[in-house]
Amino acid sequence: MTYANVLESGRFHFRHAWFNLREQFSDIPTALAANALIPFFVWILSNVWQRFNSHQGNFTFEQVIVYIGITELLFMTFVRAPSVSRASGDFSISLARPRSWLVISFSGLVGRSIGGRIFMLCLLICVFPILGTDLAEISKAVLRLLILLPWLGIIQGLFALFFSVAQVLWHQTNYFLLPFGKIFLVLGGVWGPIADFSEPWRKWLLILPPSDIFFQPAYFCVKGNFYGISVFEWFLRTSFLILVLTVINIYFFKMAKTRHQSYGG
Amino acid sequence: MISSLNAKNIIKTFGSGDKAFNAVNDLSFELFPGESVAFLGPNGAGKSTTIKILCGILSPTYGNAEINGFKVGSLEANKQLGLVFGTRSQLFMHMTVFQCLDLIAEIYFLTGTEKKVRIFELAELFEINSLLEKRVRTLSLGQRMRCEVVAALVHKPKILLADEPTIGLDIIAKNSLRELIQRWRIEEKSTLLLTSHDLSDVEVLCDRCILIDHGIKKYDGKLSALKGNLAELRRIQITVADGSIPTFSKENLIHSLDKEEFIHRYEVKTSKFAISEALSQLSKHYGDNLQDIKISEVSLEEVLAQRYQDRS
Amino acid sequence: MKTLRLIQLALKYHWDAHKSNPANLIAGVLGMVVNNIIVLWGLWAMLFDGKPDGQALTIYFLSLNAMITIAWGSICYFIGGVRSLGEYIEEGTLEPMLATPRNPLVLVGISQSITPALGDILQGLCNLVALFFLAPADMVFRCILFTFSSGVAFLGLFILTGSIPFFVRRGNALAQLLLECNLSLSFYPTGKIFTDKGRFLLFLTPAAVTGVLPMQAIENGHWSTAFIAVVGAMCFFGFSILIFNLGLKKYQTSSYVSARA
Repeated sequence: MTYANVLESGRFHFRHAWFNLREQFSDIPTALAANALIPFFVWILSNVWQRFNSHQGNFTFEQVIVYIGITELLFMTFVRAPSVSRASGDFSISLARPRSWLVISFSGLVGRSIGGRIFMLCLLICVFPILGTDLAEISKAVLRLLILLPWLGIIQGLFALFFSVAQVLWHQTNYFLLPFGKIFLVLGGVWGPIADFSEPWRKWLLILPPSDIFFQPAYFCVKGNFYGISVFEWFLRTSFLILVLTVINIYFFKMAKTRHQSYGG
Repeated sequence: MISSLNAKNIIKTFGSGDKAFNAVNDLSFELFPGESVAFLGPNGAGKSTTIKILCGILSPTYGNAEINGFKVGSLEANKQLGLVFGTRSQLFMHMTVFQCLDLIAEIYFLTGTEKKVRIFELAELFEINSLLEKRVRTLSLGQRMRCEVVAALVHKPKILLADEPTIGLDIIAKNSLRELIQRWRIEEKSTLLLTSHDLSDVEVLCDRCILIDHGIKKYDGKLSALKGNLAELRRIQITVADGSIPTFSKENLIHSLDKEEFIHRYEVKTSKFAISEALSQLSKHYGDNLQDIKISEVSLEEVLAQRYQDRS
Repeated sequence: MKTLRLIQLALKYHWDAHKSNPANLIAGVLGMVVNNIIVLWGLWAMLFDGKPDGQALTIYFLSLNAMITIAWGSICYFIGGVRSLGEYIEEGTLEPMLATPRNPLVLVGISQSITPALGDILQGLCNLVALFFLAPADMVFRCILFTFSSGVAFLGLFILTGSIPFFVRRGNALAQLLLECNLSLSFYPTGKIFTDKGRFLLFLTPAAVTGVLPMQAIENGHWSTAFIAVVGAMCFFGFSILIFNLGLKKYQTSSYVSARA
């Protein structure tokens, strides 16, 4: 591949990601209807935390509202079945096109993820004050989140891509989307901060990757620093995750392509 | 004789106030046992609305309808009715054909050996014995439509309402399905009400036609009589060797329709001029240049197309 | 009896279809079991473990979880088509069901059996087994009893939300939203969270009959609470049937068809 080709390819995939990002804003009423549950979940989970964990002293109630809003935002756009199906749906025809399905799907998934998250963020900015959070808290959290969104979008894209490839290989993997998401929901501290878990669970959860994708970014947005680790450490851990996911995706994509071309869809 | 289906002054209004319109406008007709009737009309004529009223899916704004003396939509009326929708399946895709038929028979209160006997009887008649243990989702469209018809007949309805039963089928599957339905009609002497945009279905299966437009009945009578005056017209297409030869004309008797380089077309009213005489005259005119002759009647499509065009 | 026989036959054939694809069956059931266990553990670890009243809360939560998963799973497995009622109305799939001599709701119910719901039932049963070791026997017995009450209430909820498209254009999306909200309100220990105004508002939602009241009856064992829970579930179910019939009449007499057309 020449430098010009790489540049052209990069431009194309950036435009593709940008197109998918903008697509999230093309039908506002439908998008609003699809996301109408988020404020509800933020409200109910905040009250659950208030009843059982507020005495721990790690967060104020207003901070927990923002925390849960951000984790819900990240989770509700994490490995969603429609995005995964859409990406795996055009695998067959992509083999006849001059672009890599893997990269096109990845750029599409990243764009959709970031677009969806920005949309939800706009919704939450309107909802947070109603739930009782002050504007200063909200604005700090929003700005910090916007810095992290592209990096988190890449991680989300790679996870979703893995499931898209897996669906091409084994149709039954769509049954595991739900529990996989739930694993990250629970282990990632989406319902409530991992900092409020008792030991030994807290220690173990902080080691696992889901905490780097949900708990740590949300904690950073609320508090301005990561929990128990430095910024560099968090970037190192997530970079390693990205590397591992990239290798896995390439490996399984090659397997899927070979099998599809040998035996059909 | 008690009619199989009796629709009296049916009106169906949609919308309200200024936006109200009558999809069905004072429609009345009767079907008798053993009849086979085509229910025709252009798109938006009110056919589907009428069918839905007869099934009990919709209720009329005014008027009423009865099936074998029972009010449409009632339990007894629905027991007498079999339905086939070409565009909507009533089978369960994940079950086998036999399981679907068994379940549908159960829905219509058939039980025990009566059910099984009936299923195998129809399977024999509609040639689906080999399909009974296959899952519905694995069937081709033609096979599935045969199973849909069997499902509609499993409870021995007195009247079968078929809405576009051959839609999407290839010519062989269509012919096969028509033949089977015809066979069923003869064997069970039941009533058929058919809606179809494929007029070959209508010509093969039906002897009577009800034509509606804008919710109003425009015609109710024999299919052959639908053509009216057009029935006596014959079209003659002549292929000539030499394109320069002029067309033939006999005043008021043989009309030249159009002309391509090697094809000349004529129209003859057989009530005024015998077709044999017309052929003789044309043969004399073209002599050795005459390569081929094709004679055809005015098709049902043309008749209906003209009627539909007149409305607009 | 005839209706029960029809449902039984439909279940037999649905099971046969599930069995014919064992990979799908196992994946579906296993996926749901794993999903539920993770959720159960996650909530327990976050909310109850290490708390002073942790044991009592754990028993409460296990009972709640058992009741909800078995009730919800049973409806989805045995008469799973009711979950798609809204979709059937919007897409016209309900229409042929109106032309048969059977109650359309029965036909809707038997049209589908949702495979992963078996996982819900299995996991709920496992919770019951765990409860036998942790809770008094009478509490376990009440949990089983009120699972039926909760099931009736959930059936009513499916029918009520599924009827929304009769009244609201493209109402199925709204129906799904309301269903999810109510499931969350039933599934989370909201009976332990809300007091005063919040609790009053909770009692205005179907979660009162699907989760809160039955759980209260299971926990305290009072006859009055039990009576209110059961009667409430039955009244709610009756109300949902009324709304369905009203909606159906509206559908048959006029505008829905024209709106779709």
